[in-house]
Amino acid sequence: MPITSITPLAATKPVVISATAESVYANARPKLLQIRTLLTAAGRQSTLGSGFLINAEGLAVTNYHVVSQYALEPATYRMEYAAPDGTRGALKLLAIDVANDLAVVQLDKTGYPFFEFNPRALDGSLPKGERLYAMGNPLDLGFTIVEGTYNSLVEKSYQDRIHFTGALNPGMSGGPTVSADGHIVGVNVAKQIGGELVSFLVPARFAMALIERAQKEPTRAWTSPEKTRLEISRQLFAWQADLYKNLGTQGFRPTAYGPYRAPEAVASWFTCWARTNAEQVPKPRAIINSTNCNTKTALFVANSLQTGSIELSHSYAKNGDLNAFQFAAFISQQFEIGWTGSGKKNLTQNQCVENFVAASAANRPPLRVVWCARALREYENLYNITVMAVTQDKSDEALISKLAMSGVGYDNALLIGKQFIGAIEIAKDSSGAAGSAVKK
Amino acid sequence: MIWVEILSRQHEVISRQRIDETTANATIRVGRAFDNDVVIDDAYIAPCHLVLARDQSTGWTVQDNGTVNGVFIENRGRNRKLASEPVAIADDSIIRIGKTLLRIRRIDLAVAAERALPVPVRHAWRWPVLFALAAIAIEMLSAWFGETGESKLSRYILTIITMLATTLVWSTVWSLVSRIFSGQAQFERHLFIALSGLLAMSALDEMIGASAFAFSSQWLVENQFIFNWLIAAIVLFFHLRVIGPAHLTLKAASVLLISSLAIATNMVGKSEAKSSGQTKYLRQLKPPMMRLIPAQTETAFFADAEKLKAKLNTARKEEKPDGGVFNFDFDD
Repeated sequence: MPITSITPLAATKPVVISATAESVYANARPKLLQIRTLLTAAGRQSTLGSGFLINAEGLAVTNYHVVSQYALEPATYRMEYAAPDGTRGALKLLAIDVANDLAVVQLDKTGYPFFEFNPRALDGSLPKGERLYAMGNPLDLGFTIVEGTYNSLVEKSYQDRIHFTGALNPGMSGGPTVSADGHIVGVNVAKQIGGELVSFLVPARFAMALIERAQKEPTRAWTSPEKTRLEISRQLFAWQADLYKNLGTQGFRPTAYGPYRAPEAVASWFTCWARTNAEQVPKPRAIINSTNCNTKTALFVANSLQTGSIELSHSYAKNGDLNAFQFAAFISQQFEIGWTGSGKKNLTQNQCVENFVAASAANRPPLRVVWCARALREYENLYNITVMAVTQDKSDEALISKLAMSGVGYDNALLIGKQFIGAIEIAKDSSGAAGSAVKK
Repeated sequence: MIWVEILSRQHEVISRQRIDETTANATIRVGRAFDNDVVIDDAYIAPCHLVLARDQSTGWTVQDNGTVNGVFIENRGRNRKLASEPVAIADDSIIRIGKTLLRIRRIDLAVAAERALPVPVRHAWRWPVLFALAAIAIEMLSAWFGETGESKLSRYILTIITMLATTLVWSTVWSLVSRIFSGQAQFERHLFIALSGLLAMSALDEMIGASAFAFSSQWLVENQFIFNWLIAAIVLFFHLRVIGPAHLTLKAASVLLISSLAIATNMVGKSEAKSSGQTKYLRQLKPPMMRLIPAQTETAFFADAEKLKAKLNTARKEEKPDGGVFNFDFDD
């Protein structure tokens, strides 16, 4: 629909849909910032984002992804802010929170007006449908206010994110979203590509926590990229420790795949899709049913590195009229490690161990297991690890199970990997027939 | 009576002329002019170039008739230019005048005994045909085992035609080389060698595929090229042996050198491919009953997996990131 179409109502009687937006923006205007990362050598902008002032000492909040280039390569980039009144100045990085995509920066001037946090947002008691106002500088077109609604936290998400129904555009990242009284509810962070007006905010409490942290440890050396990477490693490691602890505690639920039972994660933050080849033309000579579950937990670390997602899949193959060798060739096509993360720059080469693993109990099938791992080059203690198993008890059906973990600590991967492989079973009702075929 | 032979560069007889010495008064004149006993059309020869004379004690002598280019005696690989006095020549000496080679044959020269005709080989084609069939059978079986969708007859036929055509072209090339260097094409023997090589490669390919799974050894698949090059070296050696039985050690050494170079090149290529992030594990599964090694326990497997951590940490420190200019990252 063209945006310029004028409704008869508007044409005849100029109705102000929301007078609040006017006053909210008027109040907020001096507290808003545009935050730019510039290539030092060229003096030109490299990325643009927004930010907002949070106290009289000139502390401001923005997204980590707005300042990441500077944080990682302080020798190549520098940061500056531009206020709506045209003043500009240098920024100092004070603290980052990679898991919540937040950063706290310090202006070179003090005494600006600043935002306050909405207490109802902090304790999570906002009603669904409450009107919110997102602000920022989209696409470098000038400061903007966008009206939208609060739709509580995103369901089936590991990270707490506010679902904001309103248009966020590139450049508004790091800008504030406020309630009608002008108090901070969240920080603009992302929108759903392929959705309409589906946008996400980082809840205000994370911003408040980071500010407290920044004030407690005020002089951090963000000028050393090595130290920054160490800090990011530390944050990522702590974050994945929680993630895998949560995953491990909730555990796996056995799900039937033909005569097998395979582990599916209980945690609600997995999105699963099923797929089959049964409808293929010409009719496939072996049937394969797959389930693929993944988490939307990937964190932005750098432009070329997003890490922290988990993917879990099971494919059950049942032979039609193929012989044993042909069926083995058929399941070989599914026996792929697949994507293990991008780039020689970020990751070491893949190293694998593989072997046949014997059945440890009557209800367990013998397996062939592959474990492939790459290390994140610049972030210590973190790895991309995939473990894959194929059942070896029958020559006319098989289950191929995969678990891919990115940005995981090695011990967590081992722990969850063992749990995952150990939960591949033969269902009890067919254990009599299958048990005799088990090769130990 | 005596025979004068004109020889090719390879010392094969081109023509042979009988001269009755009684008519020639015990001397034979060789040259370009028509008053000679032997007339040779060679611009580098004088009208009367040399004189052969009967010597009562030593047989025959040869004398340079004062020519520009002289007379040479080739004896066991050595050339000797004659002075203008008559020189005695041995029975097997080859005389070079201008660009022509000559040899004197006495009529009482002993010749080798009659050689028996080879027994006609009736089943000369039996082994090549059997080998070809075996190689085709292996390839067909392997193609059939890899079939997971619709069977297409054309694919099988195309494989057979490609295999046979390649083998035929290969053997023909070797036959031509043989014909050039030894005078005999020996197509049958070259074909047999080529087919043996083909059979060995096909069989090896299948054996490696099967044993890699049976023994859970990705190493075998990764290093199959070593075995392939060794087979190629053996095939090359036998082809060279058919061409001529001389210098076998030299031939073996050069073939070995070529295959070692090829193996080394592959090794380097492999180590370069490794850094491009290709995941190395055994992708081709076989039916579970093909497993020959005992399975590990889960605990042992994860202990192995744990050991990778140290290797990765070393790699994190040692591997050089090869990001391009400006740190752009195009792969994956």
